[in-house]
Amino acid sequence: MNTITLQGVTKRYRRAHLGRVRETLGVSSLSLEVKAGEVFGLLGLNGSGKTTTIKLILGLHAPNAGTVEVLGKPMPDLDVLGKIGYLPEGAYINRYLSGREAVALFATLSGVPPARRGRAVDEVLEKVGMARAASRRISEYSKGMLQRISLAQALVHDPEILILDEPITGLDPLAMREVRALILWLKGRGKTVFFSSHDISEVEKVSDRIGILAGGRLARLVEPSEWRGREGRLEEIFASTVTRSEDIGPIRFQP
Amino acid sequence: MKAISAIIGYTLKQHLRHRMYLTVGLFGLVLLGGSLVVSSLAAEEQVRMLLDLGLAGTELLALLAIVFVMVNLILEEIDSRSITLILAHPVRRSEYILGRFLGTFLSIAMGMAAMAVLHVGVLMLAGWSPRWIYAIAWASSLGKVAVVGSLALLLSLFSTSAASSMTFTIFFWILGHFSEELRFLGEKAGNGLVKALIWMIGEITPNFSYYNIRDFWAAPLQPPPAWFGWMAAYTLAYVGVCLFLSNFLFSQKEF
Amino acid sequence: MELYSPHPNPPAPPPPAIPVGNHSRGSPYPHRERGFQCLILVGLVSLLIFSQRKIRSLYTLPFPHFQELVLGPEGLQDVVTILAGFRSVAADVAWVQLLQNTSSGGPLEENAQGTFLTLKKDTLRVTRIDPYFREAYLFSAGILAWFQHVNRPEEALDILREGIRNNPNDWVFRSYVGAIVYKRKEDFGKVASLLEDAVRQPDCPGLVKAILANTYKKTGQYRKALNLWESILDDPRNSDYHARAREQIRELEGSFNRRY
Repeated sequence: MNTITLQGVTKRYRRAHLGRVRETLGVSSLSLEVKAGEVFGLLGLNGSGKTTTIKLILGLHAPNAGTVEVLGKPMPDLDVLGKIGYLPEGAYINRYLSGREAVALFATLSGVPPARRGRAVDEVLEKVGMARAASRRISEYSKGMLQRISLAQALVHDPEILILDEPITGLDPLAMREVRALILWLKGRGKTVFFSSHDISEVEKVSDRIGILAGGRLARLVEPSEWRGREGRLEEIFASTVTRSEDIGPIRFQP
Repeated sequence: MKAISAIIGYTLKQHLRHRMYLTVGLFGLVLLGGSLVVSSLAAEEQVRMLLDLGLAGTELLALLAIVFVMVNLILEEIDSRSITLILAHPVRRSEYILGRFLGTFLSIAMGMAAMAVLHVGVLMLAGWSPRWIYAIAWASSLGKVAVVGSLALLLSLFSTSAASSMTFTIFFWILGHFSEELRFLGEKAGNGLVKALIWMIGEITPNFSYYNIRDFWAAPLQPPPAWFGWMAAYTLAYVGVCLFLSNFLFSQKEF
Repeated sequence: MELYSPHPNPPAPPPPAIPVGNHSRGSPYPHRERGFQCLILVGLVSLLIFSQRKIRSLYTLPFPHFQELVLGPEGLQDVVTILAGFRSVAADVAWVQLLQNTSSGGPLEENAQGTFLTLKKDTLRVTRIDPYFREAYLFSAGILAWFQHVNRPEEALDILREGIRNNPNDWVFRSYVGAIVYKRKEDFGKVASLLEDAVRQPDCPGLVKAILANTYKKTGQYRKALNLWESILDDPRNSDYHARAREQIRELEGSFNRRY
């Protein structure tokens, strides 16, 4: 069974200002399926529609056309959201809370029973290495600590599906390695992982399948046989699949 | 229910830990101290003036605080994107709106209660004997704060700027105190259209004069007990309508 | 220019569009839910309208309209404070300004210099904002009726009549009216008996107590005058008159000692 199904999904954004309406395409006729227990990597340039796709999956945005289903139910669905762990690109957590309070809040919202909540919070904080700093306020955390707390809230309720929006952006090499290990650990436990990135080398190390987004469309679906064991092959596929939008030119500094 | 309680909880923590709360609290103390000084000018009516200034000061601070906080409540979470993470969990939009409103209202109510305790202490030192009508006047102020707060929330979701939302809320605050007079003028108007317009404004704007119990608690004719019950019903209904409309507007937004 | 390679498998035709903003959070019965929401809104609005009607029918706010306010140079201050919802504070501020206009730097006495020409207007300014500000009526009526250099009992009676209209159950105003009428007839015995009832009220102004004490003295009731000055001295509310009370007590005790 497919865990995540997008069929013919289109999302346009309209912005009206002083009588002028400007329409931007988020995604167009996007169709993809993510199988249960699979690690699916979504690659694309900045502005290609990766975050839009994730927000459509989470039901935060409603498509203009097409359907979005997770675990067989149209999104947004409250029961399904309780089975999803979402790691956003930035750590969007209220800065007045402590790390522990933030994780406990999301544990409550995700439906972790009160009897189990305290232990679940302690365990996940321990696992992300934030047990000692958990009582400090979010506003006092470094970027790396924020990322860890953000990860903790995504994992505290032991979700079936993990949706990670650019989980390695801005991380140091050690942290990147830890995130990679986490994804593989999740896969080992039968979780479905859907993540977006523009770091080709990291995506190819962990993904079962890779989708390449360009201009809001799924330009290419890459099977593992196409890149595994062939160094640099994914990068070639990527470079041949996407081109920049007309608004941005290349950086030309060549020897 | 658990989602609403969790949201109330984190909202309360946010407000109580905000530096602004402490500043407003200190300002409240200054106001009380100032009223002690000013009331000495009232000769034999010092206690009356102390009573009036204390109740008015508490209400004014609460109203200004709730307008400022409510208008920025959702807008700040949208700007910081922390709302994205909340709504990616199994939380209904109505639960979010209700939880944030109640959490904010409770934090203001706690501040008002603290000021009331200090105020009563100062009054008793000046020779005043506590009367139940004080509690009713305080509760009435609280009702006014609830209505203004719900209006501020609705206007913040309707408008695109915090400044315009605050301006309109304060406009409604003043119009609400003028609505009784407006009704009187409407009855005297000759033009049917003007009459209808004034009637409509009178129906939409809350009549805040009824909440100023302090102004007429010395009047020979007092309202019957049932009147207070209807005031409570009116307050709940007005807040309910504003929250309902706020939820409708909020559900149209994408983050 | 194509930005991307065409998809190897043509996509299935898209199903009908889902309206933007449909955040019913996955309800299987969106129409039923929408109907329920409409019902809630109708219920709330009905309660709002009905409760507003009941509030108006059960009680009418007992304040004069804006056109009846006495608006002088501080008119804007009064109107703005009332519109902000602080009517009683507006009355208090007007009261303080009235006191400042009548003040001579110490407690007011019957032989005080000054004609207090604006006193009636200042008083009506206070009482039109707060018609239940008792002290304002009694204080001003006392000055207007009893002060030697003022002696405008008609103005005092106008103020007291307004007080009676706004506070029909408060008999003290009627006592004052009676006292003023008897004062005109120089029947100080009757004046004293009417003012005695007023003075027994806990919130009686010190000014009125002083007037009665002086009336007792005028009519030779020195023991009563002494007792009244002692009660003024004991009342912290009448602190403005404490110095005068001590002086009068010394004088009256002195006259007792000379006599006996």
